[in-house]
Amino acid sequence: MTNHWIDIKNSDVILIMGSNAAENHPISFRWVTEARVAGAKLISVDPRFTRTSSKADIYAPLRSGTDIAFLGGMLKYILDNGLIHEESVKEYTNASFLVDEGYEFDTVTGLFSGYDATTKKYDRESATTTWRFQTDGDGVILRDKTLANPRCVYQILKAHYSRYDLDTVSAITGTPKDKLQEVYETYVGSSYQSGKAGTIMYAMGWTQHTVGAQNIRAMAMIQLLLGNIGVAGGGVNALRGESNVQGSTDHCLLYHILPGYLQSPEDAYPTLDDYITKWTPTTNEPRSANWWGNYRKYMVSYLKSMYGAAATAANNFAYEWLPKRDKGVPYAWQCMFDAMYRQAAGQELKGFFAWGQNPANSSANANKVRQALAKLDWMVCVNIYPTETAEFWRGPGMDPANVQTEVFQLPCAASIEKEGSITNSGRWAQWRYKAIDPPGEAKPDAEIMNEIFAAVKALYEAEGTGAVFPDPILNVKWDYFDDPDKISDAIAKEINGYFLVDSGDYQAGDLVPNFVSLADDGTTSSGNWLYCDSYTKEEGNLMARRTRSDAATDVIGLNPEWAWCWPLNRRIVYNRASVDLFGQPYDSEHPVITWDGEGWVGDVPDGGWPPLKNPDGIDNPDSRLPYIMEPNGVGRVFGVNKMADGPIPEHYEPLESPLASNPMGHGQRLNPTALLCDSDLDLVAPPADATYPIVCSTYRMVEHWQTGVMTRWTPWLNELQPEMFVEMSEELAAEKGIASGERVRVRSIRGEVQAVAIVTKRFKPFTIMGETVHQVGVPWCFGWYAPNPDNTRVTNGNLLTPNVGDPNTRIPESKAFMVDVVKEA
Amino acid sequence: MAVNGKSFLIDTTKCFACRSCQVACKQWNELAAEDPVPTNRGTYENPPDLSHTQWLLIHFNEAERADGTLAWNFVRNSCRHCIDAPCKQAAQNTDSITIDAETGAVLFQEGTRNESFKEILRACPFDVPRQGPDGQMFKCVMCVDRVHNDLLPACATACPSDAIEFGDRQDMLDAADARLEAIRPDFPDAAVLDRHDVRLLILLGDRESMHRLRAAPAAADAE
Repeated sequence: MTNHWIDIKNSDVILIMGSNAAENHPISFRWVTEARVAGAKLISVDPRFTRTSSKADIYAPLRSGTDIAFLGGMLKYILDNGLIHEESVKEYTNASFLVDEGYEFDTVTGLFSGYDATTKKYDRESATTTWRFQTDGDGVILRDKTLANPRCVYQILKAHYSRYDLDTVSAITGTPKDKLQEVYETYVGSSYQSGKAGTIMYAMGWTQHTVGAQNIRAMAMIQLLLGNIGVAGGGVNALRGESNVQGSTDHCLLYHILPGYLQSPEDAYPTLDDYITKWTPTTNEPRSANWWGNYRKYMVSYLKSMYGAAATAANNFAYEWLPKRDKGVPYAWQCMFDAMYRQAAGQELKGFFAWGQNPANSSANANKVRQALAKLDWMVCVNIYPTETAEFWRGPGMDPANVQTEVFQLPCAASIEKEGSITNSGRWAQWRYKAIDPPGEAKPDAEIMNEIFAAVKALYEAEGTGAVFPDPILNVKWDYFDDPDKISDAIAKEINGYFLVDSGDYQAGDLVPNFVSLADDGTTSSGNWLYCDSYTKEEGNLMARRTRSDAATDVIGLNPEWAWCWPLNRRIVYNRASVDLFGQPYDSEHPVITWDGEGWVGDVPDGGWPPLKNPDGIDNPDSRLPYIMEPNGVGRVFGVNKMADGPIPEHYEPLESPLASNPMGHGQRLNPTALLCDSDLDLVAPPADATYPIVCSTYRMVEHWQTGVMTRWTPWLNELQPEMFVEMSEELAAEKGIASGERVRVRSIRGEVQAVAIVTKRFKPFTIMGETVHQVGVPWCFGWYAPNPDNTRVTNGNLLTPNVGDPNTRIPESKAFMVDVVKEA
Repeated sequence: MAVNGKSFLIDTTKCFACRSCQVACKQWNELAAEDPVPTNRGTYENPPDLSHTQWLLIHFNEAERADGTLAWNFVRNSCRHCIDAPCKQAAQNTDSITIDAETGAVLFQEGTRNESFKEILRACPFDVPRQGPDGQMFKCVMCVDRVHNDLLPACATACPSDAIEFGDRQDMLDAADARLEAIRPDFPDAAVLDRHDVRLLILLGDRESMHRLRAAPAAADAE
């Protein structure tokens, strides 16, 4: 989230789309409700009328996978009517920038300029890419702040989205035209003016598509145009799928990053200098802070944290010891299981840790994942319960005699049985304490890792001089477990970082106060630069703070002394976009920061520089533009070259869809850069296939957690939602002769599940391009093992979903695929 | 004469049926889950009925409004804690059903096992009492053990959106009136049910007929 949970209360209009917040993030509805009581409008856009929709002022249905069409229509509405936050758009975004003359979107082929049909990739990095801006002789970007130049971003958007008229959008999405109009008028009308704010709450309903990242881009563009970024009650707010997904991402759960969103090293950049040169952005824009210019400081401090005294200037701070991935090879979740499945048993991927995970249920095309696990030599499952993953070898359709994978189950401590931090969607790192001891031999995850690492290290030591490349293991700084009572604190301090030599008022061994102190010469360490300031010499563990603000003085609910949030306890990021050129808040009733003539008051500003203009109206050269992480200092309405599939979003159909061609009238049905897998288990229903005519989506529910590993064992929760179901409209049920409560099967080309039919008014047939299209939905929290093992039961929604994904994130398209529903014989 | 004691205000316009209240009730009161596990009957509503271990149940109902929009309404079924409790009047012994002096909670005591379940159930306008295996009757107890110790009832503590408020009766009536006035433009039919007669004040946005307020009548089974 750019903002945070409590801040939702400051919104004037809340759009919940691509998320079912009431059911999947119920605590968010504390703040949604508070906003509603204060008069805010709530809009729910979802294929299915949900518990979120039940509280909405406006509910608009749309066919799964058509969000860009829906939002493209909103962009057209904004641009046609000029309903933008004018100063914010002109001064704080790239809307005025002139785009390369060669850039175009071809409305016949449906492709952006620079597409290579052989590699299925766009040219966005070469010297000849057209996905860039025009510059003057000094390399400074050309712009037209009147927004009239036909090559400026604003005019390019206007032309691009002119095709998204109400008739076209309605024919694609199935949303009635009057509902589209009502949503556009309400959202835009309630939030584009100064003093008004609109927020978006989205989740996997937007990400899990072949155009997932572009769904979010579309909304980010809308928020920039409406001046809804940086302000209280605004922002682009990703509701994370687990309570600590934000924390795990910050600390590099994903393959492409190191802690603090530093890029993970690739073989193409074998030395530290290569790596730093590649990833440190430069800018010719005057008054751009270009904060990522500090890349080297953060990377060197990270290496010092990893390797301690063994990391020296002479050995490039041990950069060479970090693993390097092959450039251009995606190691994402889906790709990993694809490789695992395709290999001859035990060849490339011999072992696998399923740590706090249940991929046999949580992964798209779960049957393929289960088969892939059988290709391993060994698997370690660390969990508080046995899972369908740990038990895969005796699950539905598996013959234990044919599975050679050796499975180890390690019991771990539950959240209340260990101490540490957890970072919520709003970037708040909150410290939790241990309440009780874990049962039996269960241990906290960190202690399990410590034991494994000690064993691995001992193996290398035993091999002595014969060990192959032992340096990365033998030289790791690993001193967090010396005092068993202070393990979590020792790790948290390492993450914050230390001075390694005396520096000003600080001595070697002192914690660094913030990331401004980090150096690129090896004199500081930090396990994650973003978390510098979370545990300091002066104030101790700031994540453990529990002081609530006085609502009378903290009107917008920043609560700066409750826990700690990155970066630097800044509760609303991009907050310099919430003030005018003189530093005065656009919304005086809900100010985030204010320049009082000498400094900023309110939230921690995005840098302490003075406002862009002095009181006399003259530009202040000492000021900096508000988007400090962007090389050009402004928000990207035009994505330039950051996205694999285009600088701006275009509607493409899901891989599996009821339409044979793109209803935008061009030749490109599917995202031309989508990630596709082609093993024998990657079956895909052809477009508009009569065998699988019904659109399907998967979802979660409030009663169960993820794959249900914890909640299906909890009788009080399990009795609320005891078994697999499929929701369908009364009209579809009538066509199929299915009564509510009857047992049915849902089939995709990849698999089938047993389910109870819930026949409901909350799904309605869509009219898509003049034809009736039905949609159904299934949860993915059920499985065969818990609470009563029965390997004749096939009930997991991911047995239906395809291994296909977004080209930027490689997330699977679990939210739009095609099925049929039949009565159980 | 003003009625003292405590009351709940159940604001259904703030309820989104997360059912934290249903679970919190069972947790605090140490009530077993249904055994065997109930099936899905084509609805989210589960367990299927109130029982001696199920004192609070959220009912789900889909209905179309006159303007064509859909309502999915959630309403709580549990003891209303009547001011002048008909169940107490129907009891043969005065100590089998008591009224808590501080809160006004209607409490079933162990002596209910000696009462006629048929009569007690018939007396209840809301089909709430349920009988355990040994004949004792059970229902919501207003968590009087918590309230006597200055805590909110478990359900009110668990509710994330303040759809369950609990406090002095007059304060709850005042809060209900204020809320009714605030939502009147959006919900012209908004009302508080049985406001003079019960301590569980249920505020509805839509008409009462657009909710599934009563459980399936168990009274017939008891005949």
